[in-house]
Amino acid sequence: MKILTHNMLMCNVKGCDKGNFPLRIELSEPVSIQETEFNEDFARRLIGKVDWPALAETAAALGLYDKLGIPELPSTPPEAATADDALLKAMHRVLLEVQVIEGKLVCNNCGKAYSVSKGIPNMLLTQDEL
Amino acid sequence: MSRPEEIGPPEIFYNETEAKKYTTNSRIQEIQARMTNRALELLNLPPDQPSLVLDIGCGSGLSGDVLAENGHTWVGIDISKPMLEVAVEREVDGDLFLWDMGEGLSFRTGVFDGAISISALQWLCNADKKGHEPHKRLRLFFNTLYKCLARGARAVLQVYPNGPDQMNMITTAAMRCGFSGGLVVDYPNSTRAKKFFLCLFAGSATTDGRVEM
Ligand SMILES: [Zn+2]
Repeated sequence: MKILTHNMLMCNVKGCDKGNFPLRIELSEPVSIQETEFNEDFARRLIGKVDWPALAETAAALGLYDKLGIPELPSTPPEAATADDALLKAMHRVLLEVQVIEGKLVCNNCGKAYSVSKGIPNMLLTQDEL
Repeated sequence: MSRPEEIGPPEIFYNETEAKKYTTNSRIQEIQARMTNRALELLNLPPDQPSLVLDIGCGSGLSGDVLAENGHTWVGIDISKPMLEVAVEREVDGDLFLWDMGEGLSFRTGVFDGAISISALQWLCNADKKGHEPHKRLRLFFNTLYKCLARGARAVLQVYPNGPDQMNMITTAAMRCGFSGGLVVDYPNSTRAKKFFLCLFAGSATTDGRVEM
């Protein structure tokens, strides 16, 4: 699971609709980093889609700034039209190059833990969570 | 030949062996690619814009490959773990989730530029488990799909209905959840080649990008 997708993912348990985002990432294996092609247009478009406070929180919690050697991302949305290359590249690296492979995603509100195995989060609910 | 959805639920039907057989069958690969290209055409994304697309029932990522070839970033959900594991082995570009679409989607509002689904939606009409109510599951699916699409975005869902009643049940559920749009039928006069694409609009965007609800 990429950080981009994590940034869009909320808890799916019925009735859990406040404080259900972002899900807390608990790793049981370090994140994997895979270089992907940088697309400036796409990175710029993502500015409006990303939840910036959640992104900054997640990047810090996973120690991604040190790991990737990039400047810290802002916790408020930057201006899409004027975002510079350095910011767009840092965004690209965090959002699209970092992968959670093994661990779990925990809801801070209801406590539901979604396991992640082979990079695939298991979002299935039980009968009483529906 | 029996239809897979009449044999058993998708997570049982597509076991490891079936998932591999399905993915490496060249006829299936070709049909999947052709239907995905058609879905992409109907999705009508802005030209030359790299978009974020949700693939519902992504399986082993055959449809996702077409999305990636067209420059899009995709997120795929599927209820078959073996299928998703084949996708991981194939090192697809998309992000994968083990997810039952009938339990609803929980992505943030308006994040996807479009959604496609190839040959998956008919599974939702089955009551595979105790407590499965197809109407309820369809409603939850369409309601939550609507929310996670950008306003004016489309969802194009290719379906193999088992008859007009099932197609009607799916279309009605989508319209009740706020979608507009309708059914596109390709090769309507051929029983073998006939294909149904449910084209749904989540609100409508005007030509200058403003959104009318
Ligand atoms: Zn929760």
